[in-house]
Amino acid sequence: MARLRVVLLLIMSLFSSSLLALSEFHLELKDHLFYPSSVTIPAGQKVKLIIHNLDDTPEEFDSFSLNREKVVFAQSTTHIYIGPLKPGEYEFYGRYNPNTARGKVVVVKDQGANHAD
Amino acid sequence: MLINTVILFMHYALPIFILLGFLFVQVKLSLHLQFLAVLVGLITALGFISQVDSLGAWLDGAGLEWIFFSLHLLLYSGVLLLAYGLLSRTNTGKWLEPMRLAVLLVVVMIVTKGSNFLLYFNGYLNQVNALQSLLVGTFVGLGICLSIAILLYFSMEWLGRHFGRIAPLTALLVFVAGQLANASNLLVQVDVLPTTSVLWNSQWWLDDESEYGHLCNVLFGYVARPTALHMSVFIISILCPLVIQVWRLKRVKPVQRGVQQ
Repeated sequence: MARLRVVLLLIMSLFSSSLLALSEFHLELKDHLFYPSSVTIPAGQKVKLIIHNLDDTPEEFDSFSLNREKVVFAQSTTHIYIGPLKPGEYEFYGRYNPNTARGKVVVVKDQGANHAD
Repeated sequence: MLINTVILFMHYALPIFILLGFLFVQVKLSLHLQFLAVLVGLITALGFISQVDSLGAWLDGAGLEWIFFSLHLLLYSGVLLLAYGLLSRTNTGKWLEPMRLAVLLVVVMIVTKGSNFLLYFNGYLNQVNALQSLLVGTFVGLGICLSIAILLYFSMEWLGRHFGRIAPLTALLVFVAGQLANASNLLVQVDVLPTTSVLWNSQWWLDDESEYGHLCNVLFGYVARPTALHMSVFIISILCPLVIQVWRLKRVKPVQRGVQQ
């Protein structure tokens, strides 16, 4: 019986680790500008970045340093996964409006990283 | 908007023109077939972007990544079949005919790359005073892409004359391997493939965002911070067919020697 409990606990721990929800961070696109323009995330963790496009035109979220490119259709929401990353700053921009739509992901070591400027 | 349209056109259309430059060296496509391939590609791309919103929502928002990665895989497989058809001395059959494969490759490339530009064009067409900038930007971008494709065509023809057919075919293989390595990143961003460590940072030497960085990215998938996955896909995509070809040649030679004796 004790063995069975151990096996069950092991299986449960495996499932719980795979079902652990990733931290979510939100970005908004309005008038071809990113809000917030800086997102702070924890180092060494994979996170989900949810992008809401409030404009009537599509935009492409692009970042060379993050190796990401994703089209966000007009008036819609999409998501990408970023990380695990080393501490530092990773710039991103809107490929369709690169002069205005700019921002950065700031990766920090401490755990209280779920804030945005 | 004018400069951005030129940059965007080059970003999305340059791979199409590079592919055309490579293909014209290998397969002498008639003007009629060229026109047909571009027309079918554009119509398919227009059909694709009309449904892109719903396709993007597939598989929990990973639909477009899967579609674009599959199209890149199709492109890579098509180039392998084309190389097989061109290097094989036996009859390869109707569907492996180089002319048909070349047309298919152009159509797939236009859908893969052209649909993004059409999406931008379509999205910003209704903005005030945008049409003129969009059209002028497209024509300027077209001129630059055409010039690069012509330069590539003559370079590949020279390469073929001096080193045999295998040389431009290997260059074409490196080109599609780079495209496939870039596309593998799409599956990483939707968490289908795991995130792997960055191997090096050559930003100081060649910036991704620079003109040369962009050209190298299109030509052989250059990225300043390549991940282990990116490099693995790139190297395996090049080495596998080359190893198979060398093995085939080694197998064929003893058989030919046996026949001659």
